[in-house]
Amino acid sequence: MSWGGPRVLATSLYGVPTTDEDIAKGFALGDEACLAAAYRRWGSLVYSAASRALGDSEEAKDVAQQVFIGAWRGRAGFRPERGTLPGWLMGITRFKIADALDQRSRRRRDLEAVSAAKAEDTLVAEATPNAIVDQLLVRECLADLSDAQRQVLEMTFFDDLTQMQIAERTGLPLGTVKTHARRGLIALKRKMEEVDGAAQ
Amino acid sequence: MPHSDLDELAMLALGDVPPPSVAAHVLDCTECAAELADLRRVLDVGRSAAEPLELVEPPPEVWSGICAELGLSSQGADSPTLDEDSPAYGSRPSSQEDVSIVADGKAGGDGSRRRRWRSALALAAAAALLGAAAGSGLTWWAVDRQEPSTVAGTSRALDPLLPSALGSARMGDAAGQRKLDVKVKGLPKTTGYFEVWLMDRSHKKLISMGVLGSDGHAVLPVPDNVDLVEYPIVDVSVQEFNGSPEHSGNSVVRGAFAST
Repeated sequence: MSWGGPRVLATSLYGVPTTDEDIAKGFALGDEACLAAAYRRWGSLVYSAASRALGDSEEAKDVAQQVFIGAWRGRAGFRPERGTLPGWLMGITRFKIADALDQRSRRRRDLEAVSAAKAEDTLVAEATPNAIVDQLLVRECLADLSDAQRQVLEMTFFDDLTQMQIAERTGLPLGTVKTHARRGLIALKRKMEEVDGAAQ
Repeated sequence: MPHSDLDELAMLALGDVPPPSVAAHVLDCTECAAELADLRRVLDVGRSAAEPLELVEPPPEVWSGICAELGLSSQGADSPTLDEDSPAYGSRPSSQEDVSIVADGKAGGDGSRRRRWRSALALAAAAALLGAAAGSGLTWWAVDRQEPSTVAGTSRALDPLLPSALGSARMGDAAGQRKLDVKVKGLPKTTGYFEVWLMDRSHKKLISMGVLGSDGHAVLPVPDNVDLVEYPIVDVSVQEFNGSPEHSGNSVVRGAFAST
């Protein structure tokens, strides 16, 4: 299926965009069906990141909503050829989480100012929202790699194996393991990159 | 000297030994050093993700809220149920023996590789792009779309200190003069009036900017010699007609204004 123009947009309402790339392209072109598809595909990712980072499901709902609304309205800044849609969505999620945490501390200051109450240090675990977003995103992006690359990288990351050990366990030649690790890492980086085309 | 190949930088990141010229180049080239740092960060993040985080499905009102806010036709965007067959994040390949050798093409050679991964620029870009949404975006859009104001630019949502209140504010030039544009919906009933203030961050120093009419919209002149760095907060209060010039302590909305 190719995404060339308005004719395709019209038909996509009837044909469900299936691949991540189709979803991303349609999203960039303003196809509402692709917004829905993007939500189906990455709504859990966005909501889970917000929910873990904020520890509050009400705020997480608000953030998830704002992420998709903001992404849709700002879709002109998303360039499918320059980065992946989940990477871009997670960039916005990161920003929205930071914003929610900001508001939270502002509210706390306001309460203190109005009631002249002493600040109770009830800081939520705010230290790691970025780490949470990163961890979810890296899992998401790993799943997109070729099987061989994913498996070599998973053994590198999660089992903390050296390339030699991976070669021994898999029976692959060491050179092949190295190639998969290298190319997998590069592909993973590219997938995790957020689109700085959003700046323009 | 030409930049290092991504492939060579990945070798470095993974602890392999690349041609000696690569290591030397990275020492001198900030671009390649940044690229290498990004690759290493991907590795670090990958290692940190060893314990899978469980994905939680958002409640249905998230999607209906998105549709409502965007005014989406239900066509083509009918309440999507989340994929049940989306990739399982915690899942591992069942057997490590079944690594297949895929003759994949050369990766990453796409000319435009000089992008920072999650760079400060990207964050700033997201901030600029979504500046309108800073604060509570949903309410801001609802307030602002209906009433274009005389100060050009985008407003910033103010925090409601009463549950019903929705406010936004921006500072900008109108007719060559610095003006503060304030809008509040959902003002409480009062026998008094509403007053607009600029505050410092401690909320201890205040300057009265004027009165907000019952229509909830005011464009107030701000003297040029007021230091907005010192007074970055706008506040709207309910005041009684009791002759006191002080802030009543009853605020309706408060927050940082947008500067245009």
